[in-house]
Amino acid sequence: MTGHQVNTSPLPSQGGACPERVEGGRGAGDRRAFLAWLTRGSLATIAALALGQVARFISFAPAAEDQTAIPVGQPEQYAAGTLTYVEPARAYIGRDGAGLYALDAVCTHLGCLVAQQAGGGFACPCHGSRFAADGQAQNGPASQALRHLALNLNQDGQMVVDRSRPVTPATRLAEDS
Amino acid sequence: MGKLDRQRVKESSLQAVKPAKASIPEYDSSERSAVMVHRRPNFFYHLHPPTLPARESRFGYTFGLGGISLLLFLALGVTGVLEMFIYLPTLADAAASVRQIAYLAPFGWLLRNMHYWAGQMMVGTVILHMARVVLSGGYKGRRSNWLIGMALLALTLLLDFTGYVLRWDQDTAWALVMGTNLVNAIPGIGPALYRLLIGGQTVGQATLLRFYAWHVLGLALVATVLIVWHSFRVRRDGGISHRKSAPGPAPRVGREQLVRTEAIAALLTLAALVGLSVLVNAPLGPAANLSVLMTAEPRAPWFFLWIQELLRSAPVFLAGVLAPLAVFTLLSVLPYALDRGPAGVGEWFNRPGRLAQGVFLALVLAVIALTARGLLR
Ligand code: FES
Repeated sequence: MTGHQVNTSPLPSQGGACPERVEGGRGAGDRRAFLAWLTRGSLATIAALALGQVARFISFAPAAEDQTAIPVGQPEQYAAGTLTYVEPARAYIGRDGAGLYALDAVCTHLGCLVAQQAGGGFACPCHGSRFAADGQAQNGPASQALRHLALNLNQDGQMVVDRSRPVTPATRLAEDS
Repeated sequence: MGKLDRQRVKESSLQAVKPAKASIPEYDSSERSAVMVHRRPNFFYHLHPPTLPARESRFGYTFGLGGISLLLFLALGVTGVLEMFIYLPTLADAAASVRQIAYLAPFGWLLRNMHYWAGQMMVGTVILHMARVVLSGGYKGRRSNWLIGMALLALTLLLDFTGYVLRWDQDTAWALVMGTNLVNAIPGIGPALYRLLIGGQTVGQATLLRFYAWHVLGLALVATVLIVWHSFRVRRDGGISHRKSAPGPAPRVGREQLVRTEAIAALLTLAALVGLSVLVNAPLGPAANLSVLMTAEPRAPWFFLWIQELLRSAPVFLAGVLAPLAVFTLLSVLPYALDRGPAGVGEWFNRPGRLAQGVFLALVLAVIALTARGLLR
């Protein structure tokens, strides 16, 4: 132990007086520095790898159950010119001259639910974004339009909203009955 | 070696006061301290050095803000553990179990109110503690402890926010939706970080459970470790920051004086906490339902109102992520960039630290102004 200590910290004034120790000291010092570097490096690598796995572990989520097709009732329930908020779908179901459509109520800014405004269009209560009746962003922090969602008829003649399938604003439900 | 031994003797029980008296003439040994000489100092005495600088031990210098924050943290631990006996972190039961605590369990209302108010008060005391340290140059010559303190500020806010979510009423659930969507706006890692935070694609059961885990253990454990380290650093850095007076040693007082002041401050804090909890109920809104259209504007918790206000006019990433990070970073580097020298330590509004103090006060004023604007809406 004492020998090692001498090697690692030779005093400058003594270094020249004892050449053997300086040579041995340099070699041992390099080796020791390398081993220390190697130890620290491996520990840091192991820690980083472990942390990465911890991140993977806490990112794990079981596959979500299929909640994409949400029933919203019969087409006849929605009269021409109306716009109705349907809670389970978190969407507005509207009927205009062209037909039925579903408009996502989730604000494109930070995810609050937009409310219908008296003069037509939508307003978000959270940071004041405004959207036109067709979902176009008009005002405030949100820059993207509200999403139009796929609206389909299932076998029983029920309408279903598919929250995972955005469609173009012009899309309408094909009613051929 | 000899110095270390002497130090040990000084710290040891029987001679807690005498050597100090011998070496520092201005030390005033009261009768009370004479009594102490014959008792083994208890745990609370051991947390302090035998003597402390007289000027900086006065309540009017520190206002006891660090100690009060610690006391509130302990109160939060005790009341929080008790709440865990009833609280259920599930979508179906969370709101109902909070109501059981608030309305049915004996003294549950007091427990919940105390937990809530201690959390609110702690945000206030740690920020005031930070202000005291900046304005009196307390971080000079001990900058690493300033960084630990900054980490503790972040942890305090995160603990408050995660706790706020557990209430699971309309306000807090929407605050959760907005707060986590901020993360989504970070370019690159945003979506992955979002999934890691909420445990899935949308806010739901997994989110509530993991916020619960962060709140009761994950964050609380880290905060406990850092608080111990923060306090240890104060001792290691030579006790409370104090003016380096010249010439000769500054007057010192025995630790029993400080312990007495601390005991009084602790009692007053607890009295204020209980009083507030008896008088004002913690908020509790209708159970969260993220499908129902909101009737009122959901508000961020008060200490994040300034961010909500910024979000009204600036892009999400800028207002919700970069701005808070910039404020935090600027505060962290104050003693490294603007107030580097040791001169002026222990002096309120010391001259060498004017620039750092100015920047600090400007930041605080900006945050207060934005918060006020948010409150007045
Ligand atoms: S969430 Fe709608 S404006 Fe911010």
